Amino acid sequence: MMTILRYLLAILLVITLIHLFEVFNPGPHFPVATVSSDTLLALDSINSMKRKYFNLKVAESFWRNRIQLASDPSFILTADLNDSLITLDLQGVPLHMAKIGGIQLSQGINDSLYQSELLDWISAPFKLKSQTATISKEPIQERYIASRREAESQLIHLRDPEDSNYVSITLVFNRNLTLILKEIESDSVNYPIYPEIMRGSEKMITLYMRRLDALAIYRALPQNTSMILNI
Amino acid sequence: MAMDDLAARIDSLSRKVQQLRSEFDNLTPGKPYLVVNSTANELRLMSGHTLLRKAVCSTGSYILLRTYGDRKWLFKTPRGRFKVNVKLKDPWWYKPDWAYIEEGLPVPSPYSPKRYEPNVLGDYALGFGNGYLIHGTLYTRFLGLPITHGCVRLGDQDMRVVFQTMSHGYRIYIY
Repeated sequence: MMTILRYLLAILLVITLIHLFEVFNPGPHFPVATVSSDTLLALDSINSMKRKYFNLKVAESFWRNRIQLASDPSFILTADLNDSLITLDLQGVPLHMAKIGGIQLSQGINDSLYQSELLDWISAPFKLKSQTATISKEPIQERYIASRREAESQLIHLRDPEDSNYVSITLVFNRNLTLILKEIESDSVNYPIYPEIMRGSEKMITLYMRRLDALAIYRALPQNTSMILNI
Repeated sequence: MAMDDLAARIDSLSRKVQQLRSEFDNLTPGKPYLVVNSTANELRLMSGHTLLRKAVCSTGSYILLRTYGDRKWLFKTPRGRFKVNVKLKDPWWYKPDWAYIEEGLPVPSPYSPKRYEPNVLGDYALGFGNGYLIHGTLYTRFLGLPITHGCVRLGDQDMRVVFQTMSHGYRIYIY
């Protein structure tokens, strides 16, 4: 890595010197060394390769953690922001896959993209510390019932009293990560397909998805669940 | 030289990631298995990563029934990983206490033959522990609604396919 850095620094130094030379010497050019298009292409190529390498390191961590948590007997959550997929796994079996319709990242996360700090941050699964939502975890309806027929007719009319509640779920994990799952309100609203950056130094991710997906995931998640992130 | 080194690392890491993905994919059962979404009341019959059949079902109502003597029952379909532990053709229903209490009837002795009722669970049933069944239903109009006492109800056609495909020990995942 140090060799690459030295190489990049040398190229940058040459470019800067050439620009300075041109600024202070507007006259006829002397036959000095110039940066060829090949060199610039090489620079682009190195940057692109470095990003690819970084993404692969993140993916390696993501799949390794997913395999490791397959031995855990409880439901776990995975958020793959590269493929826009949120998944509920149980012992290595992906049970529910939901398409993410929009992503918002806080500045705190965006600043750490492609930094070794991010790799350290996501290297182990996140542990859920607390969860709150605008809908109940278990939609229990307590009642005294005179007969089964009455119960069934009541259910048809009274089913899901939370139908009108907008779904917003806040999951607070260790290492200062807050994940917010929100329902897509309507097809006419444009949600950010590419991550939209929100102000704030905290590490916060907001994901938009279909109402039923958010409900299914939230109601299956145990209190002490884990989450794996691919970013 | 540095680029060559980086390219080699990328190549090696790509292979490693692919290997991990395959390792994860292999955790999915090779034999058929069921996945029940109790929020959407949907059932999927799967084989590996292939969907064999998708069906509308009914799951627990989440009604908490309270009655005299501080007895209570929560009609909830359990979540987690289970196995088929019993297969029944023309199953009879053993009516639990709550079935009588709901109807305002006296609760018979646990050994009373009155407890057994034919023709209410459809033609087939699969048991997955603690008395929970996946079974057919007479009340097809309620399919898709969370209305059961904890069992998973299916339409007759879907239940027949599920019964024929699933054997003892095959996995059932409910979330």
